[in-house]
Amino acid sequence: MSAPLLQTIGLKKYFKTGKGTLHAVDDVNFTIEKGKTLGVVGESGCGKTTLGRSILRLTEPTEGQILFNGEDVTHVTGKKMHEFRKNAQIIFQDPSSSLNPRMSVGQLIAEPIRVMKTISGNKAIDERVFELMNIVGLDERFYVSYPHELDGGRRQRIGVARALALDPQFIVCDEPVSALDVSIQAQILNLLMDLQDTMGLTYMFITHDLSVVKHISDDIAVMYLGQCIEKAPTDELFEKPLHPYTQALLAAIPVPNLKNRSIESTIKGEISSPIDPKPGCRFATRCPFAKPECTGKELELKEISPGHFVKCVMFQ
Amino acid sequence: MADKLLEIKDLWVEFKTDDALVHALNGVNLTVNRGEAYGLVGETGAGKTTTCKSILQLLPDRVGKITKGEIFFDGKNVPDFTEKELEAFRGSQCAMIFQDPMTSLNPVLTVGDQVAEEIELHNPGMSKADIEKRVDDMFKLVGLLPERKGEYPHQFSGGMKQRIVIAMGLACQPELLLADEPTTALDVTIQLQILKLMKDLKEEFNTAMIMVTHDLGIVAKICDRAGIMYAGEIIEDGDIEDIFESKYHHPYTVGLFGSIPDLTVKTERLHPIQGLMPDPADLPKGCKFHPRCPECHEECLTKEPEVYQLSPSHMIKCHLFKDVKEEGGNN
Repeated sequence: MSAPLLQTIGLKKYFKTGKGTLHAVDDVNFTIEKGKTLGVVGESGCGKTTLGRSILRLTEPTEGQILFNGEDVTHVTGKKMHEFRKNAQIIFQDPSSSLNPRMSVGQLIAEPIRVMKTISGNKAIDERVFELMNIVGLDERFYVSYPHELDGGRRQRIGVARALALDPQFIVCDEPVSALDVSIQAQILNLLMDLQDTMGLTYMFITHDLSVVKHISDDIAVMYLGQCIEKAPTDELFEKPLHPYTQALLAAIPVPNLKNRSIESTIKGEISSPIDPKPGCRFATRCPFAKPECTGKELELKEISPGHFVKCVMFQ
Repeated sequence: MADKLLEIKDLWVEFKTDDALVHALNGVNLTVNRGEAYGLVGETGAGKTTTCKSILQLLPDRVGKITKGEIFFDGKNVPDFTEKELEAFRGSQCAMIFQDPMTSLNPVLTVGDQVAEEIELHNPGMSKADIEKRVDDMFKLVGLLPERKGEYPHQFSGGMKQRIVIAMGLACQPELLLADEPTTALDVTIQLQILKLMKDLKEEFNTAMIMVTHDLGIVAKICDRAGIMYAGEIIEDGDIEDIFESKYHHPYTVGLFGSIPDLTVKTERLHPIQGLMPDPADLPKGCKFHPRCPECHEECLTKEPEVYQLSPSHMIKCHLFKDVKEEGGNN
């Protein structure tokens, strides 16, 4: 077992709203080993993106700790923060809104290098930009193009190049392919996996698409209303999902073959409000197996078999 | 012989923009029978939405134009309809569910009024009480509480808004429903609820449907037949058994399937289609897929492929299938 690159301990992010406290991320614990990919899945509003942003401290966590390479980076500032930023990067969801429309591709990719001053001299920076464009599969002729002149797949390649510009160890991929067509999506997924192989990158891959997450992850964490409700190695999670929500999520994927054409929806209703949630299982209101024990007491994420954790009364 | 409800014959649509002539549809042929769900699959820019809008004659004025072709609905050619006939046709015979429920509802009208509007327009003389009752029925049908009809769109979640849009589409019990990516904006568990609803409604009212999607999984769940679109053409068409289980496919269809990570098999690498969709203002000569096609040969560069009928139900538009016939076609 290799050393963990990233670890969160009791990470929480609350937002104050007019109606009460919104528990966006509520006590999340996990570790990601070097060179591995943790997939984070869940529906919209479950706190996946907030989790990714809190880890990078793009929003400051309310409580808890973030350990990066064994070092606590939760409150670091100045030089140490600078170092952390270099090592931990993010690829954003929507390449058309996360790139400055007034900057050319060359400027966009050079921006992180210029901000962090890792390379000096225009010539050296340009060389690095061309090298990065080559790595992510962008033709050199796009150096002077603007984002609106490119299609979604190429734009997302710019996003990847920007994230790679500082040679990070860790990248949060926040739904990097969900805005793309399937054939382009597959190209970007292949690119990300190749980069991981050649550069030994560690990913946290946030998505709502389970077939994508299965393809790319080593471990998967399933989130529901700010909490991690199940975590397991990818194959195990798909073979033996334990939490009723995970089971429902897996059953809801339309599989492109004709073996099973019936549509059975096991869970009813929609995600409930994350504002001031009551103690107990947050999925209980939609769960087909809900019992009186499900409410009232906070449950723990319990290890059922090696590496397989689940938060459900049936397994306490 | 199945009962044809909609038949599109050799439909060509162009958009005139300031700097180019965009060839959106280049000879689309498709048939939808009564009570049947037809899946229209393709990537962004393939012409799926344009096909639906052409059926309803909703192409933008002056910019978009049908240059050739016929659209027969129940034996009558829709482009020949007068404005009055079109009014009667839209909504009550053929309705459309638009892609994004967040933007297709009017934010300043209550959702009940939006459903009622349509019923009122198509049933002149219907009493207020009857209209209200009909609205309540529609709400119940799509799984919403009728008490909420006085609320505004922003008070509903994405899945519920989509149910409202479906209720509007079904309010006048159309014979054909055009569903343009009705679940793309939704989460999987909500998507499943909506798909179930649509399948149940189709069975209950025998509504025919064109299901526009890029998700082959959705096609497998609810469609009876499907067509794969590429650059304004239907390049493969067949019963879903043909699409999912035949060993013969258009190279583009093969690429589409290769791009989807399979949940049941462990694959190390995906096999996507190389390159990008062609620019519809500057389409390649010969077969429009040839610059991206792994099987491309000389003929493809210059000669547009014909439509080859592999079995009575299965069509592929590709030079590779000139002499291929399938055994035991299913009708």
